[in-house]
Amino acid sequence: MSLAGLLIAAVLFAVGTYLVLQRMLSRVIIGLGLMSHGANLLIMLSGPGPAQPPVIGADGGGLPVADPLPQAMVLTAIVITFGITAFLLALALRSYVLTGSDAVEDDIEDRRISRAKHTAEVTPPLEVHEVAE
Amino acid sequence: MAGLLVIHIAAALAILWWRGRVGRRAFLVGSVGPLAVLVWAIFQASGISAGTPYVQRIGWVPSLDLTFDLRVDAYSLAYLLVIAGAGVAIFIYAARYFSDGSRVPTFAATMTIFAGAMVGIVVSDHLLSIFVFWELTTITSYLLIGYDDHKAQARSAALHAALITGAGGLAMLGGFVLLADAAGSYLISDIVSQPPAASTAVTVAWLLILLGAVTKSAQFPFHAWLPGAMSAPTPASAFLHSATMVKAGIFLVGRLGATATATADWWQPVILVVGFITMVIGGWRALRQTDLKLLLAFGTVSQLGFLFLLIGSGSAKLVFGGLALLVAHALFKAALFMVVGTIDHQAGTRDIRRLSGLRRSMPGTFWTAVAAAASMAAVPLTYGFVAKEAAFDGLVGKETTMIAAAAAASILTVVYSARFLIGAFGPHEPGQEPAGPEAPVARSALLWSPLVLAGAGIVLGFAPRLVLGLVDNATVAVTGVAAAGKLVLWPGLVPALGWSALSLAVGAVLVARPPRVDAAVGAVGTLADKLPTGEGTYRRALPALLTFADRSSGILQNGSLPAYIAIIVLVAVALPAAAVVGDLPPLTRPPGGIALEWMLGALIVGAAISLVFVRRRFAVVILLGGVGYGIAGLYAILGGPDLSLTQLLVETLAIALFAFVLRHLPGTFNEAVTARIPRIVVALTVGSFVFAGGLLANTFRGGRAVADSYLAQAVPEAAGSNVVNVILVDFRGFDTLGEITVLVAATLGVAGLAVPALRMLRREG
Repeated sequence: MSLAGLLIAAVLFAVGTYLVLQRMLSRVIIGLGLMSHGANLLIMLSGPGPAQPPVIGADGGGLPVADPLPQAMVLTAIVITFGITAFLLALALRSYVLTGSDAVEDDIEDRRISRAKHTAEVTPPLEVHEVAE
Repeated sequence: MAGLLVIHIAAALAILWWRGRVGRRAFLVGSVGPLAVLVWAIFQASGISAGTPYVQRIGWVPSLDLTFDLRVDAYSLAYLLVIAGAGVAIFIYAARYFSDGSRVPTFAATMTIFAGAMVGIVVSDHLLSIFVFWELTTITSYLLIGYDDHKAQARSAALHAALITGAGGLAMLGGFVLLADAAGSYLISDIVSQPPAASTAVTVAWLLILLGAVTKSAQFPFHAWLPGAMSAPTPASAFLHSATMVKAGIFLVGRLGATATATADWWQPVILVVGFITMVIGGWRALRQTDLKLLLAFGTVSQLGFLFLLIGSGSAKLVFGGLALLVAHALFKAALFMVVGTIDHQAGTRDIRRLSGLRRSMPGTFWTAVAAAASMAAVPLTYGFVAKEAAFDGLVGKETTMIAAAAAASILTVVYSARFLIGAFGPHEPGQEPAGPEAPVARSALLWSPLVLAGAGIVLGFAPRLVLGLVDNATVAVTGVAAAGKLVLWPGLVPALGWSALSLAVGAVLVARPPRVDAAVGAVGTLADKLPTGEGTYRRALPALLTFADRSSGILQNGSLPAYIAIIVLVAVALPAAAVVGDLPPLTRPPGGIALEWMLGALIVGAAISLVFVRRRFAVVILLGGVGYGIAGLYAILGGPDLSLTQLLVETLAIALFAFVLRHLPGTFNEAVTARIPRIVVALTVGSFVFAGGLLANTFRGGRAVADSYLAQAVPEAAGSNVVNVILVDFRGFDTLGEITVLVAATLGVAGLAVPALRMLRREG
């Protein structure tokens, strides 16, 4: 792990989070992409730093051999992220075509709930016999 | 044993399946549940009473120590017999009480599930499964009490019961977790045999568990839900008030009472004080009711107070008396509720100011009521007397105030028992419209069910031996010692008899002078009405509770997606941070990194931060590409040429996709971002968390055994020299298959979403 790599991952996460917290769908997708880059980079950083490829018989020029396990994981993650990005983009396109806007509006139903005022059902108290004097 | 629970569920499902045709016979189907329990309990009785509990364990997730543990010892057996015995009588009664109606089968199914849940409580050995059954009775009782949902009274009573017992149940769950944590086991049998050492956590646990029991058993100051619960149809009231629901709390304090007494010295005094207050308040309020059912309901509160303090005390002599009384209470209270049901059914009212001439027109019901009320008032020659003698005998030798308080409550019991009988079967009050039966009572379950239970209360009075063994063994099962108590019709001239005689005599004198008693009750009542009541407090607290619920859901469920994501993200950061903060080890500082890394870093960070500020969408595409290609460069440095290539390829494709989609969207982002500062704060929090987490992970980075074994085995086992490739297509081939499946699914999704959208766009031109 290097400080440079860690700083990059942290910045990617921070910017990604900021974008995910927006209302424009296209920005949310970009934010997710940045966070994925950050996560992949973090996994790769668990290796020894600058290294030679984990290929048997390769000449690494004195560098240590990289850890193949995080590489296999990240390789999978890159491809899956691409699939998700493509799906979300299609979703954003569809949403734009249907609503004419790229922004996610507040959920009307939720907003109604949050403004609701529930009142207690007040029933007459249980009957108590007033004994005659 | 677990089969008995299944029978209840199956019966309920069968009722629902045939609900169109079954009508009120649904209760006969439902009675299969209690009947099966009764038969099972009778067959197992001798073995269990001999001291060998019936144990059954069903593994659910054994590796997580999640098992379904059933354990029936003599104590559980006593409750099983009471629940099932009263259950059978009440189900059969209900089948005659109701008219065929479209909602009756659903009600019957609910009651069957309720009965099954009650059985579940008393046979569970695992604290968590007790909790599950406990809450199941809360939910089903809510449905039973609120059956007449067109009546506001029934709806609010159901809500009251559910809120109070539900809140108590949650407190109890907290107590269970703390207790199990301290004891090292969730099994009650383990906790009882090896009690946890006294500690603050254990004290809190007992308090929370007590809260659960107090609310469920309608003890002061939470007793107010129970009288309201009589809004349920009478068979359900009979079941809830006599043998089930309220007995759950008593069961629990009895089960844990001895252990609690041993680990917390305040347990017994608290139980006694709570029980006595409940006993007196319930008895007093019963004196003032004109509704027969409400009178009985307050009587139940009073009786429960007595049972609670006796059985919860953990002292063998008191538990013995309490269990004897528990059986008596189930018999007479179920019978009396059914009597009220029959009166209501025949006369159309249960107002004691109006009922008139029932003694002549309903002789069978009258004598049933006499027998049951005599047992309730502990008149000699009834089982109620025998049981109360045992209870008094346990109290003799304790402090005199205790036995005096019990005697005072007994006097009230005598008076309200008489009030019940005279009110129901005596003449109507002047000035009120008299009401009598519209039709004679058929010789049906309306007559027989209460008669059998009330009759049992007399028979057991003459043959208390029939229950002696049961009560004795149950006492030993929870306290570990034999009480050496007696259940006899004539105890001899002992102090307990004196107290019984005193209660009866004073009660009789009061009954004989109704005008004066009424005047006194009225005078004291005017004073007592000024005191805060449980109902009043609940009524005042309810609006506040609803306002709190409105406010909190208004904040948490505000409809804004960014707010939801912010909450999720912050929780995801806070939980792990809270777990490590406090005992953080010194972090090792990683090496800075080579020059190339810093250069690529500058590119990535610059592009990423610019993404926040750009307004034109196509600039976004270029910046995004910058980040992706930068990352690909980093992968190359870190020794991943395959990754680097894949990243380049995928990034290019992604840019193409973005460009394609953004082409159709407006050219610039035209939203005004509000609340920038909170968003920045959340973003920086996440960034710092990732940075700190990375440092922490780096500090604990150990060896790489997996990697080394992959490196060593790649050539001999998979004949491949590129180890990453070997892992993907060979060692973890099935994972790659899963990955491909995800991609296929995503592709289908994209096609399904995008193709129609594009078609629409094209049509619009």
